[in-house]
Amino acid sequence: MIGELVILWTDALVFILVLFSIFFGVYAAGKEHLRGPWRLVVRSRVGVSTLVILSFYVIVGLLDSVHFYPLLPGKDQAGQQTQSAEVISLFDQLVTPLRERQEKTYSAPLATHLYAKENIELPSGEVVRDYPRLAFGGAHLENPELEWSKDILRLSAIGVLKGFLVSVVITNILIALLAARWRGSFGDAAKLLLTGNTAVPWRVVLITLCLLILTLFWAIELSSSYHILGTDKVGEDVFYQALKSIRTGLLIGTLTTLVMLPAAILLGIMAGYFRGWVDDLIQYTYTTLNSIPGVLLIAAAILMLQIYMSNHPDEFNSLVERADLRLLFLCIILGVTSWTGLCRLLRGEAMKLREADYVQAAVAFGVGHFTIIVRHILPNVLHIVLITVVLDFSGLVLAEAVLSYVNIGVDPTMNSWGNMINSARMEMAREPVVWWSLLASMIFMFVLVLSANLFSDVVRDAFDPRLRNSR
Amino acid sequence: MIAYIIRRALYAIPILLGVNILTFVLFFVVNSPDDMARMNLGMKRVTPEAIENWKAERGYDKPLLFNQSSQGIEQLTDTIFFQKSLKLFQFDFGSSDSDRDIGYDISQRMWPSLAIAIPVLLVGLLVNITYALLIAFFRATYIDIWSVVLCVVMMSISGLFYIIGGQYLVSKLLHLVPISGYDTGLSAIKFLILPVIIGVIGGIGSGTRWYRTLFLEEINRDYVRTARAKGLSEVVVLFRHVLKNAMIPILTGVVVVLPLLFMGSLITESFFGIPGLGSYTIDAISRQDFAIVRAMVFLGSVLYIIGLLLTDISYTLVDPRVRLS
Amino acid sequence: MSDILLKVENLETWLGDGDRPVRAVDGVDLTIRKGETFALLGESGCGKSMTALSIMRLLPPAGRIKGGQVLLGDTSLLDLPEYAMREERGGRMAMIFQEPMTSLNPVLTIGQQIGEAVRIREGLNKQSLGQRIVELLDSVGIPDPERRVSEYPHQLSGGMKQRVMIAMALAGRPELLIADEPTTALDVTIQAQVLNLLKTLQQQTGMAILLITHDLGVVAEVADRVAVMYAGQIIELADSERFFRQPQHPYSQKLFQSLPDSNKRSQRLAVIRGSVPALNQTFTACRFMDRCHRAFDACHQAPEWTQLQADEGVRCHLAGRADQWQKDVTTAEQHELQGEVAGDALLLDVKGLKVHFPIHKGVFKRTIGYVKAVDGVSLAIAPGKTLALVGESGCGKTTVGKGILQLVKPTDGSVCFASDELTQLSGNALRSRRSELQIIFQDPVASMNPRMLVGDIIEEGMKAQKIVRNSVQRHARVVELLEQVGLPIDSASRYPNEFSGGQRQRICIARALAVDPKLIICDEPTSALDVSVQAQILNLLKSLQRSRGLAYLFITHNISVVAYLADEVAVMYLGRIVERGAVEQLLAKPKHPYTKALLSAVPVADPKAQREVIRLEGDMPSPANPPAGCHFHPRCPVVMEQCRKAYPELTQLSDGRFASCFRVQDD
Repeated sequence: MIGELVILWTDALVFILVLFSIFFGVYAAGKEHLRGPWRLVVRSRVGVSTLVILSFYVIVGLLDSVHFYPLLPGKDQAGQQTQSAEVISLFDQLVTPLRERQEKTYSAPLATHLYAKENIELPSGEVVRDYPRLAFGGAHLENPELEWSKDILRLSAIGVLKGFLVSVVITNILIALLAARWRGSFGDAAKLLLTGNTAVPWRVVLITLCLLILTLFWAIELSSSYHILGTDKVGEDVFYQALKSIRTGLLIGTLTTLVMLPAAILLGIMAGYFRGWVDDLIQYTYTTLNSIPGVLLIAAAILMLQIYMSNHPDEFNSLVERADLRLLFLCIILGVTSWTGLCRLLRGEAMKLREADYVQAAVAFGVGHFTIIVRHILPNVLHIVLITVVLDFSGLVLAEAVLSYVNIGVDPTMNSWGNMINSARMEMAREPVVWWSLLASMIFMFVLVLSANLFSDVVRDAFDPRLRNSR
Repeated sequence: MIAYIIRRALYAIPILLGVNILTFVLFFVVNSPDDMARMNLGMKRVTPEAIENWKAERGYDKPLLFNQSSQGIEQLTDTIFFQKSLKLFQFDFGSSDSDRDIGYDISQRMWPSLAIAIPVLLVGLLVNITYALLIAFFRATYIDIWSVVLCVVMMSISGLFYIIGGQYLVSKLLHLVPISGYDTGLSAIKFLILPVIIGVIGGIGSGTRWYRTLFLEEINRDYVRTARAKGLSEVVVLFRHVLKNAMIPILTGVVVVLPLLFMGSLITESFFGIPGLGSYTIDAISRQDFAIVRAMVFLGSVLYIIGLLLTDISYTLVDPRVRLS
Repeated sequence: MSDILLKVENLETWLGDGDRPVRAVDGVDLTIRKGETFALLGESGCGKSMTALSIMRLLPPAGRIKGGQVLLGDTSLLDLPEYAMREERGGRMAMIFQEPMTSLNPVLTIGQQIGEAVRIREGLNKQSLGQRIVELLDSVGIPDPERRVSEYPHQLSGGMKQRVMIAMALAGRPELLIADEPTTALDVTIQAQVLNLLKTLQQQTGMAILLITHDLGVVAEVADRVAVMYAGQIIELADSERFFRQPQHPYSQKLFQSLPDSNKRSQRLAVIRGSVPALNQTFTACRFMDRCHRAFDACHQAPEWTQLQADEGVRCHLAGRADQWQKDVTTAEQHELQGEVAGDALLLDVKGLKVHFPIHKGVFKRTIGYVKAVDGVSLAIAPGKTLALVGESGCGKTTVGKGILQLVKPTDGSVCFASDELTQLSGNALRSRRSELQIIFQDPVASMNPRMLVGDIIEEGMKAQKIVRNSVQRHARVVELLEQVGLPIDSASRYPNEFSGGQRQRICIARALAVDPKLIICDEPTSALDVSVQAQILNLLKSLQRSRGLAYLFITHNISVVAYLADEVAVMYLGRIVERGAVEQLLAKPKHPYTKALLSAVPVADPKAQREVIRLEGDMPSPANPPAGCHFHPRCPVVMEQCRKAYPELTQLSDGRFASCFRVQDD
């Protein structure tokens, strides 16, 4: 099934990011000042429920970041299995039916017929103008007008039932695990958990998780026979597109900060710590970059990239690779426009810290500059970095939509919420309105951004002692 | 204080020079004019003559930095850098690829931009401050908690959705105002009212939340306790003491964006078909008209730096601690 | 009883929600009579400020009153609706706070802020309002009140701001003024002015004052009656005279004994072991039991309030057993601390040290002048000796310390340490000498990196100085140091925030000792600590000096600490030393008028002590723009024509001391 692996640039960075997060997690576990705030985060109800939703997005995004050439069923002359020329991801592989069941053009959510009238040739040879049946959506129905609602209900019931069973299993597993950890009986653990008497609000975790699973199974069951969010202009499943856009959104939100972080931290601390001409130079650099309106800088850079790409088409192996490089470049240029804020913040903080008594004490011991920065300054600004990264995430996801709408975002061939909205603009002008692409992208984006916003609030409150004390 | 402002103004010169060089590198060095010509003329099978022709029409046929074929000072002035980049300092933006005078276009199009941006700013400020003050008055009650939740929800919705949804609801379903377009004079109002309302609503979430934080920060200060110890009522404390202190960061935050209002809003203007600078920029981007994009980059930077300068000045005017020291 | 103004009964105030709220005030009773000054004395965190805020109903959002009654006259304050309570606040009772710097609104003028308070009481028209404001400013002794009306708080000095606060409080002609540590943030000479002002105002208006303070000296100065507060409760109540003659509660007794002064030089100070218990628990035993030197079996049961006389009482099981009430003069812990360290060569010799910070101004940031923080300071310390550097805030004493350590680069002068000229050294040469000079800071919270383990903090210097290269040995040394400063060994694997202020200061001492210094610059090491904890640190410093032969440069504003610890004293004013000499000589018989004024302004914990306070007018000028001639002449009570023209050089007098004053030379 899986052929040769392809590691795209962004994939590589995603996995570096994952490794980095694991490393940071291990490091933080040993430091009380980092572990304490995280404990506050996982003890907040909003914190854990958003965490569950965010993990769903992250899992989809990660699955969608393992790319390979799928093997085709046939064999070539040498007896080798042939590879497809098209790169797909593990996620694509999982949802193959969604990906492959293409209709001709627009169809409404859960519809059995196309959205536009066409000339249909009846078996009798007569040609009528009517809404033709879909190739896949509800194709199993003999008489859609009569059976449709019953079929939907039946599938929903099955989906919800399956979801419920899985939820029950998961609940039991969780209780068993907690009982093992608390060294108590299963019954006690169940009681504590279900009455909500646990330090970490496991009950909230469980409720969120079960709701998520129910929705998921319901969607899976229905989408086995229908296009639950309809199809777009070329007949592609909108649900599939919205799911595929998750990776793009997450990548823009995380890689951008990853790209800008080293420069922002290094320059910010250097400017604040060394002052003098180093400070002047760094301040000049970021004021200059900052004075160019962000959108215009991005527009200019992306336009230049387009020219470069169209003049050097031979440097890119496939469309996917080309789109991927554009995404990476977009992250970099977004990083360039957004690092200045963090840099300025860190400069101010480093300036304060260099006058702190413990830094003075270190100087009085003859500790070198580099050691002082690494040992005294960096650990004391880390929480600011973390808060900024989390706070920036949702803004970047929203920015992607706007940029793609203006055509200076991700590649038009790439699935993204921005591209979906962009195409929806034309559709909204149609009569009757095609609203489902827009709605689907909006809902997926809204859930992600809202979770991220709520989560970042919890993280900020946990890490910013000033705010914590004022409560 | 005047010396301080002069110093800040002088500091703008190296920054603008930096912006200028940066845009020059971005537009002429990363991709040569040849590349641009090839791109514009349609990729494949372009004759070298066509490219030269395209370049000559736009004055891109000169050397980048140093013209060996010229004499004396013209060795430096008869170059792309001097003609296209440094001329921006005189606000000489040249002409666009479609041969229109960019400077003239800008002067025409900034008025519609302002007609939207100024009401959005003022009404938004009023709405956000009022709402935030209300929340601050009812702090730590359910009104506070649910208002914050509402703000977070509102700021989690993409601005595009407000525009599309608003257009669909108000214009398409209810037929209250036209979907898009613009007119001169007072008849512009019916075109402006929806974008302004949408602009204000789109900003409520983040704006109110930010102001609420500012107010609560001030409310916890010692002088507020002193004011209460005098026997002042909560409303007086809020308006006379808290608001007055919180207005310093609010005002300076507003002043910095004032000049940028000229640039208009890219998205709003293009959705509502307002012939402002925002839609001008968007059109230029989609037509790949580099002359306009370059002019807008430079103009944006100049306006931003003016904004910074105004911020410094407003700080010295508003805050007695800065004004009198 | 018509003369009772305020009656507080069984007041309980809790902070925070959750399972374990902090019971900041836990059943407080007190009565204040008309026109008296009632002092509420206690260490930080004992709930005295919360008591005051509860009376005013100005608690922070986390706090709430759980029970009790507050009667102002016949009005029950806790039952009033908020709008009626506002009438009382700023009306019959007013309050002033500890931090005059932050307690005034920075964007409103003085006149606006006072006017606001006047208007809600009297609703005068514009002209008479202006008159009343000027009148109020005048009554609190602010010079040139007409001009001050339109000024902003940042244009005033700390003492002036506190006067403005008082004026604001007087606007409603209060019957009760609650003063929450009104002079703690101020210098001694300014403190003397403000206390004097409060006394005068009380005589004029007949208002009662509830004075909240931690300073026994301030209590002795102004109070008629005293209540001692400990861990949320009042543990002793007495009139001032009796309290200072014979304190009843063991805690009060120990407080007196732990005050440093010159009589106790040769002995260890009495200490109260441990620290104040956390208040987020319910007590069954006596709250002071763990720290009490007289604890016995009965103390496991919390003691009830015992009324001794009409207005006196104590919360202790020993109450009523007259034989137990001997005020111990000698303590069991006393032992001889007179270890003379021989040495004739000077360890540190500073000559003409100057630290000037440039002032930039104008378009091109030209240097138009200098803040002369330190302007020609000379001092010397012999091995094993202590030199105290005394002065008010802003006189440049901390900068002297940093200049000696080369933490700020001196502009001029020489710092000769053990025959090395530190100002000439740089880079590695300087770095290698750093082990011999160390520093202990004032703020025990800010002086340790909160992200590092205590063990790593102590090891830092050893690593940087490469004193012990082997990590096992290094660890052994950390353990040894922790023992020396009296901390448990397992402290090494904990974070600084798990320790109290006094313990943190011990860690800082251990950190400094780790590199085996010869001289430690102690920059106000005890001023952020409570008296009982201060005694622990002073004892530690003294015994370390004896055992290790350390020399100290002790930077402080606290004269009693100087008297206890120092061998020599140097008094600083506006960047220069005005008088320097042996401690006995200088404290007993100061010669420079500034030294005289400074010493006379220090409150003494004895109401009977008759002393003439020399009142200094105004504030210390800015070091950016020192007055011509003698820097002290604008405030000097004995100024002469000559003083306005020339600066008197520091000259040695016949008794060995140095002074810089024309008057002194005249003697």
